[in-house]
Amino acid sequence: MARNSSPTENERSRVRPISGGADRTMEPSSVAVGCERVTHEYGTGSTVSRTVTALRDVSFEVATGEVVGLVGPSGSGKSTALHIIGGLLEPNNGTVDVLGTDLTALSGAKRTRLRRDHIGFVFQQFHLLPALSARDNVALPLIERGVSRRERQRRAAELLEQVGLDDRMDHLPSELSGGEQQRVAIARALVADPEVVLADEPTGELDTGTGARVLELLVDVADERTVLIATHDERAMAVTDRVLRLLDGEMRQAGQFSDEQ
Amino acid sequence: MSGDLPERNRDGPRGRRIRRWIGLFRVAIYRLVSRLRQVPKQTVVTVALIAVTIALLVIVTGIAAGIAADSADESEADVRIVPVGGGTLSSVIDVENARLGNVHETSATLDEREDVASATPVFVEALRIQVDGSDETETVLAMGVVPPAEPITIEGLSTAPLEPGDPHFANGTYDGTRTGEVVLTDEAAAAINASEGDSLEIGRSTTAATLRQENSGGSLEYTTTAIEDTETNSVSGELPLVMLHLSELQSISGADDDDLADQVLVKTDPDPSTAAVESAAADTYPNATVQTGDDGQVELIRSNDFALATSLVAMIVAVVICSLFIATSAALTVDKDRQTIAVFAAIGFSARSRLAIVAVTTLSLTLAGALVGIVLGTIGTAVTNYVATATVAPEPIATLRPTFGLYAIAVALVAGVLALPYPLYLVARTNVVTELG
Repeated sequence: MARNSSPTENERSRVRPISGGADRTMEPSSVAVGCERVTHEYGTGSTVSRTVTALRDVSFEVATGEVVGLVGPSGSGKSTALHIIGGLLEPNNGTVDVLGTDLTALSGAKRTRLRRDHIGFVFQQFHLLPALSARDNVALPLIERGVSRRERQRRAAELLEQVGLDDRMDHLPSELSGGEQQRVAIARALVADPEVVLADEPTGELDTGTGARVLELLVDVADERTVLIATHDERAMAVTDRVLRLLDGEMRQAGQFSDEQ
Repeated sequence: MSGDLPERNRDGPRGRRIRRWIGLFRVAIYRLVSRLRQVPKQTVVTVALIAVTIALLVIVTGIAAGIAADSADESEADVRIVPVGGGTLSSVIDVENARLGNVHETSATLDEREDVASATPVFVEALRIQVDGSDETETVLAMGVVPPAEPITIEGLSTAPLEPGDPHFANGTYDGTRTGEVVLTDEAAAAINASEGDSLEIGRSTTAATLRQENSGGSLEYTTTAIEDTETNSVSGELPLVMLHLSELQSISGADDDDLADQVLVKTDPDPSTAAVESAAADTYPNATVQTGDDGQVELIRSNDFALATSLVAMIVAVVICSLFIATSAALTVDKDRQTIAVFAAIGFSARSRLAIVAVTTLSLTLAGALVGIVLGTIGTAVTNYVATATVAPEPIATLRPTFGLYAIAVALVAGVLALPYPLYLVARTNVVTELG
């Protein structure tokens, strides 16, 4: 299922995938996420002699409001790319631009602040806090922003309604199915109203049917937000506007999902 | 690419920060509850170990306070003025304690206050005593006082049998009438076979012969005015106690030059508040220590070397043991909670917030242990006293004060704070990416 609110032709021309990045031009007003010649290696510490290159010279742009799939087999570097865009990792080389801010120039604290205010994360294993109700889990990110408890509860309830869990608000994660837990995680990612949503294998723990529904829901609830979904589930990519393919840490192929059929 | 992205709510009003900290506190409490559910045994063991340590601290401190109270019973005075470095009516006779001077005048000044019922100096000196004509001499601890018009009890001895005032003092000339009155404890009376009305010989000398030689002029005549049945007294330790007028004791012991005493005891009247009297006492003796019933126990511990050493060792051991327990337990919890900590990081909790959550959780656990420890310590003190009085001690050996509870909480929190660096270090080095997969 292709997303209804896909970027306009004009936008698409600006967010074309870039293979080398040398002749690339960005327009900050329309580009939500931009990676330029990003390289990241693991195991570069002094005690580890062998290094693994997770990303090599990867460049791409994602337009504001675009839903992009980051596809590739395990170990291809999709999660690393999301972690770098989310400010959880610093690349060894290259620049990462999120909403007009160069993440590589920010300190760890500033990256955390940017994540708090502008980025929502959805994880494969949900990572809900087991002793908190669904509503409290969703409200969690608002604590750091100093939102009052009443307002936190109100907004969490609103989001849970949107993901169809209005009758499960006070349930603990252990009382919810996998699909329901992931819907709670989606609500948590969106509760602080971020401009960018990063979903790392959001269907990895779900059966195919449930996974597809969760992805549809994610894209639907994300509305006009920029969404990057890392997955190895090709079928789930039907909900995206465009696909970026990674293999062994390198960008191999990119294009609109419909173009690949 | 620029770094000027607006940060929403970054510098919001103060209320926003307060709400954030309240929220973080709630998350910390959640984490504690969650821990109790996930690893109940480990949590209970940690609380129990902290509690036992704190309970032992309370008991040992109580015993130390009891030891110190054996040297001085501050309950007989609302305010005590003691010299700096002194403060006990020590029975150690070969050590010169610091003493107060000009005590008659200053205690009289205090006595004139409307809010003071009585003020009397107390001077303690070891003397030899015997019944006139007897060869049985005994070393006693003589306590010189100025008996007030309304009798009071000092170290279990009532001043009632003594003539009020101190006639021999005679405005500092020490040539007034000697009353010769001596109140003996039943223990002292038994030691020298004295009965009421018996003449006594008293002196500083160490043998009966020299004592008789000293008193051969016949000018120092003393009479057993009363024998008081006192169960115990805390001032004299193993020495029997006797009481006489201050100036007469000063004359015997040579302390009349500077009108010396070990302390001044003040009873307030009628308002139990001691603040004004305490202030007046401090003005009277600016270089002395003024103790009230509220802080006397701590001062007593401070002024007694053995009690001080005991309580300090207990405190150090408690801090070290508690710190080790807390650090180990908190580190284990952080290790188990790495994913949660990583989630906090991923959803935008700052490093400071993450550290604060772990710190609050750890200190809350410590506080819980301390509270349980105080309860156990209270019970332990009661049991200790019961066992002691049923076996070897004539009276309870440990005391318990509300301040001990605050002290125990403070010690536990210090231990908690000392234990924090290790779990916080583990939080700081948690690899968010690894934990989130």
